[in-house]
Amino acid sequence: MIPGDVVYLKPESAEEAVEAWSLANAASAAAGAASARGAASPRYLAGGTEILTTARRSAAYAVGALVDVKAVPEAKAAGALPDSLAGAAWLGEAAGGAPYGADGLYFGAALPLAELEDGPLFPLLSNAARGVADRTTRNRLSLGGNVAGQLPYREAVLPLLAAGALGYSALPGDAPAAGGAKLRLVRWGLRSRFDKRLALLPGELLLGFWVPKAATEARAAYVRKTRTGPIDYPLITLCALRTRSGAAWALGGAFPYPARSDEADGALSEALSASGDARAGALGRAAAALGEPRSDQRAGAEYRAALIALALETVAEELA
Amino acid sequence: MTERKGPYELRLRVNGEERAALTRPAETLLRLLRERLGLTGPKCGCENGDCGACTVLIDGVPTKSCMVLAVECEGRELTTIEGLRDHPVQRAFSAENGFQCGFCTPGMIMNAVALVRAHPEPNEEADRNWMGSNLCRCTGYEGIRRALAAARAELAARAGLMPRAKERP
Ligand code: FES
Ligand code: FES
Repeated sequence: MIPGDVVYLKPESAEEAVEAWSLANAASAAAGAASARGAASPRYLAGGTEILTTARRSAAYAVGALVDVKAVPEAKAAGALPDSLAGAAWLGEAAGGAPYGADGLYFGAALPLAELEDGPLFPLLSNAARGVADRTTRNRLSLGGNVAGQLPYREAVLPLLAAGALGYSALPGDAPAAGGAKLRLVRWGLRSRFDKRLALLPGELLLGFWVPKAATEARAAYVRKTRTGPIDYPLITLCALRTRSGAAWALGGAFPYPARSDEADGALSEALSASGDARAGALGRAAAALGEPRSDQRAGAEYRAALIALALETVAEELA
Repeated sequence: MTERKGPYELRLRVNGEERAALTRPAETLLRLLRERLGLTGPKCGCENGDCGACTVLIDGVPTKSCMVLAVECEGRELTTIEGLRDHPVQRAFSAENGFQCGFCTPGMIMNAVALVRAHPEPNEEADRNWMGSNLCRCTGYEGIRRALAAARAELAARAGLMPRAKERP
């Protein structure tokens, strides 16, 4: 339950959604100026589990309006890139090409994780989705909510980071009041906007991710270790893909955020073609490139480091 | 664009009937079902998405009703435990001692109904994956496992795929 009142808005297009967010934001800023609690910002809603659990726990988590994006076509699409996104512009200056060519698969941000778990399109994403929470909860949890959420784990982002996915989103247009476009559709490299968390601009609506087909079809390795059973937060989750230049991988659970780096990819790639001490050294460098794992009530840093070392061994064998 | 605010009359279809109730957009489906529609089958265990006692079917998909806003269910088909009438899964839970105190049972049964529909053949992996969403503090889960097997056998027999136990030679 959400304490207090909220306004519920259910748009049917990305344009309506972004406009609804902007109007609700302006209204809440005006109301917040007159209230001791300040402005309650609007939020985009897909699965809603994080919104509901956080609002129930903390009165400081104010929710003003909920913009339900489950009827936005681009947020529910899976498979081919929706036609409406074909002309999306690169965000900022960071233009670049798709890493593996133009052929790829699209996954809408409002797709439930259970649907991705059952789908055959990108097996590494199916595995990572299956690791999150429990099956019934995954019927609600959305891909975008998991990637852009506040929890440390966010396991669904790991295969997307390893695959060098592109993100698609919608931003308010530059000057709608002056008759300009109400909406800007943009695309961006996920790796370039994901540093511990996905950096979204105020009002930016995450629409989905595009993954190069070479990555969805590449040899993949997945290792997940928990303290108790399958339904538990991960001590580590490792997602890796074989690439043209070697390997790409991302690690969750070990830190308070999902992590990857070019240096870590390079070291794992080296390990794939090395043997003996050289291989062990490369695997050690791959782990060290991401930093020292954390200690918490689930496991100490040393234990996690040992799990990472074992997982990297397994991954190197499976990808070699 | 749909817009809902303040108290308003929500119309939805529950257990095959059109129902209407006064709600507000911040209210969860669980609260609406229990407190406004008098459907107390879905249980309020944790209200945090952890226990599964509040599980209902939304368009046939098992869903924790404490994790959904009622307003999101406009135009959807809801099924709670009250909507089942002597279902094979209910009979199997009873016959196989799939419950003791019964608190988790409505959620267990709703999830199990969807599970055996999606996986009519015995499937240990799917059973663990799906039923792991529901916690039971009493049974140790053995009776629930037997109940799933018995329900599948009953449904298969009904579909004419195999003889009922008592008809076997
Ligand atoms: S009451 Fe909904 S999951 Fe526990
Ligand atoms: S029968 Fe008591 S909690 Fe399951």
